[in-house]
Amino acid sequence: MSWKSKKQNIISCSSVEAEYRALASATRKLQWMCFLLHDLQQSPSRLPVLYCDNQSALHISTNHVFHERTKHLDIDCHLVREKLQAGVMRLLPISSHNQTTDVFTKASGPRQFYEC
Amino acid sequence: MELPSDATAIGNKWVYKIKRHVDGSVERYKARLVAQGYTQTEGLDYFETFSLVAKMSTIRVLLALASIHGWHLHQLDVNNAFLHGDLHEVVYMKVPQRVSSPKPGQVCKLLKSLYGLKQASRQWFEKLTQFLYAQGFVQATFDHTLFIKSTVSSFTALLVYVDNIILVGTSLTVFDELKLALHQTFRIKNLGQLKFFLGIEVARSSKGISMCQRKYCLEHLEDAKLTSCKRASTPLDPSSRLHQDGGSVYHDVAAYRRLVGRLLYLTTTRPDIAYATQQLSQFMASPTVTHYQATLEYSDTLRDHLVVAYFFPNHLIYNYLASVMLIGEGAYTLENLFLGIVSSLGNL
Repeated sequence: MSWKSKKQNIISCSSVEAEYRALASATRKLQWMCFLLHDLQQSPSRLPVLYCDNQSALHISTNHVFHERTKHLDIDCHLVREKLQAGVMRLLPISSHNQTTDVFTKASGPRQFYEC
Repeated sequence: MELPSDATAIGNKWVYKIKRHVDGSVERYKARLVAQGYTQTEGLDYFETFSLVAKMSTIRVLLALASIHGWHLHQLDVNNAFLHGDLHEVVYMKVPQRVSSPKPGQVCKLLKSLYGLKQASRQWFEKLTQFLYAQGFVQATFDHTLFIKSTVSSFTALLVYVDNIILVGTSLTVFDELKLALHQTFRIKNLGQLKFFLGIEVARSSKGISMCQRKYCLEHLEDAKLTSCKRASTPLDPSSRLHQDGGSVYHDVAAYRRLVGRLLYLTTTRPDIAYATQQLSQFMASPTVTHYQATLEYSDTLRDHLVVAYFFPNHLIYNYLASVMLIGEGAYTLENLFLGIVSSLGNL
């Protein structure tokens, strides 16, 4: 429905931070799409699910304790946390093996490509 | 009328076009008067120029919903759309060529918008919005080019892309009424079922709806002069990475930008080329010969996958799935971090 492949324009101090940023970006998109569907008078039967293949990023978004390592993160990234609490979506882990979005992040052979 | 001493009149031009049928025979000779908008001054004869166009995501969401619910999908085109806009500013224009004015040195004061004026597109959208409000449509809050009208018995959504309009909905009667009203106010071309929209071919079968940019892809290959050369066997080489190298800048920067721009538009229906396009588009500012070569090579591989269609099956269970992934292969430098997001309606 919607996809994006983009170089992040901010330097991240850790890979988790970069993952978390991506998560925040996806949350925004998801929220927009929920709003749009609401405009179109469609209500999903289940709560939308956001899959993330990075455990650390998942922990940051579910854990409310202010981590020593995340204190420098921009406030807009914590949108993920807020939306989770507000019950806009669910966040679930996914193994990197099943990651559909690899097409957007790696140059891969045609096989992997057209499988998904 | 006489031109006031403190005002300037903008120029104009006749543009002639020959419209042909598919077989090449002449359909009609078209002459259009265009205003030379580049001579306008901001704050004097125009203020706002921003005009909305539909988001591609919205188009895809609409197609998916139409597929799931079996809704009708129609398309129409407004004739001479920009001429309908009202002008709020006072704009003077020189008398067009071959039109005789009663006295020499006179100018025209424009009442309606003309092609070429800076505000033409905006004024047209405003006019259309007013019309749709009067027809009982409500503007969607999260994409302002989407208009919705829902009654007890029917649901109609209307998406505007400048003068192209897509109608999605449950009732053909409502479609017909709306088309009639539109025709009476603006003169429209009824194109029937949605088939070809913004270079995207839309097809419908019993299994669902597909979107395909085969024709656009062919044009891209033609543009890159690749239709008859030897094929490369691999897409973007996974082992090599493009860098902002010190090589000499490619002599025709515009050509590079045009090629990558076409690839960017191809990603509308083809997520499979998103990564490569993203890689190539990083060098738009100063492409080198290497980058240009990589673009050509990549475009060449598209020939093997010309007909990749984006498909919305109609048996989707209505729920939502989105996933996120990001890699930083080994290093966290700016260069190595990419972001990929997929969200799809239904089960992946």
